Amino acid sequence: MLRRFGLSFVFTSIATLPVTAQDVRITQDMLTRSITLNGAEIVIDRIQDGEHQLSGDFARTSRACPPFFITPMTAAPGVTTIGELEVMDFLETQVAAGTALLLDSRLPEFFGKGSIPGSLNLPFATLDSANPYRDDILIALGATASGGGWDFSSAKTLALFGNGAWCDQSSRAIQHLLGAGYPAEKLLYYRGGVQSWLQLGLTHHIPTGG
Amino acid sequence: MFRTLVLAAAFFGITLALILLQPTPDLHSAEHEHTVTRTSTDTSLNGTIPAASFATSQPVPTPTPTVAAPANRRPSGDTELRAMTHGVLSGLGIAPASLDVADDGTEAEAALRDMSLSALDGLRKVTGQPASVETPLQRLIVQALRAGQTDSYIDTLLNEAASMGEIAVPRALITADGRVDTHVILSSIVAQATKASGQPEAALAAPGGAGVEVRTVQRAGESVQYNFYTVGPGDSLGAIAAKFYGDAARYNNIFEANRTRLSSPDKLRVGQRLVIPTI
Repeated sequence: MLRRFGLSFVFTSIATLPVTAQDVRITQDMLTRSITLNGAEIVIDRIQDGEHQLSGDFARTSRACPPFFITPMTAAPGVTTIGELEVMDFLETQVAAGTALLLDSRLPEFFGKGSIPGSLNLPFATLDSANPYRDDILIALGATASGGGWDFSSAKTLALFGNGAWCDQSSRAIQHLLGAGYPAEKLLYYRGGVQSWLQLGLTHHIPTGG
Repeated sequence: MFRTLVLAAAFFGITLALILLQPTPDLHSAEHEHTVTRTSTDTSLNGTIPAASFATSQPVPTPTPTVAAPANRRPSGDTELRAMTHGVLSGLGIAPASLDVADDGTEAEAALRDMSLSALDGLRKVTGQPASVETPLQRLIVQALRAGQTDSYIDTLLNEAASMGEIAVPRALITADGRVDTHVILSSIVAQATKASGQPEAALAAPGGAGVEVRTVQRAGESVQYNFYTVGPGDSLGAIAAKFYGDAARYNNIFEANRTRLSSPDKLRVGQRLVIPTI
């Protein structure tokens, strides 16, 4: 009896070994993803520690509502909602080609604590039409003023995200952009945001203030 | 039983505290808002029609504190005029002091400004877009100034180019008679160049002259002063801002305070009476 117990113990120990040694991959045939943006290489992979758990703000489940409502799956008609793999594809193809930008819609304080690699900080409040710099920002995004309105034909495609599904900052940024006339087909919405990104153990980038 | 009583008492106490501590609306500022609306809708004309006369060498005055600024107005200072002035100066090879807007406005406005400027910086770094693009208006002024042309020549030049649609002129620089306010363009360039060269700015004169009206209203034991200005021929919103604030780029303060009367910064009418908020 004792021997049998011992044998099964040894067996289960061996059986679990390969599991802990297995890689935490992004997809079945992708362990890491390396993307070159503006001459700099960024590498996205996942935390390999199978026991790792989030702590701090992004481990929280519940926030007072209002203002932290659960956001709908779609930010606005015509704006495509995307997930993590699409964010990586977006970086590798469109952002790398210079035709698109990945934008963190949160306030600089949050962006400074870490964000998705390759993203730029464009706080939602700066896109409000009441901001006197809003037009400069639209121009920086590639819009051109034409006859009292805006021409967005050479404007960049934008993918926007916030803290997570409970954070409406990226939806607000999208509403402001649509209000200015930005075409919906040039906007993408990563609803999961920083929380979903971290929940999957994906590489987190702390901006270096440069 | 005793426990229930204690709980009920605690609940009552907390509720009472919450009721007592809830923020009360600011009656004082509400009263001000009301007064501004009532007084400024008085459209009686002053009779005097001012000439748009303030010399380049005479930067103009900041009025004494009067009306509380209306709430929720846009941050003061506008990039359009400043950008134009700075663009012309750099076209002439003069390094402007700083492109930052004046240190006015509330903390929230300052935060928004910082946020916008750093976001712009980040975007431009990635997109490789230059910080400022020379507009056709700037190019024209730079060329004319380089050639040593007179103010009246530049005025004719700009008006012709504007009527042909060759240049876009900031709307605050369109006068009540539909012309380009060359005077304000040139004086803000001179003022900025003076600042850039490190020379002290000329002392501010007291506000006054044709079209300016200061009215003191007695209300509930305190007297509040209001400034009004009657638009004359040749006035632009930029010129009026320069007259009262010493800076044409602050026209937005006046525009916002007169939104009920002005559909756009270039829609001034001669004889219109504008309230001038204190900033």
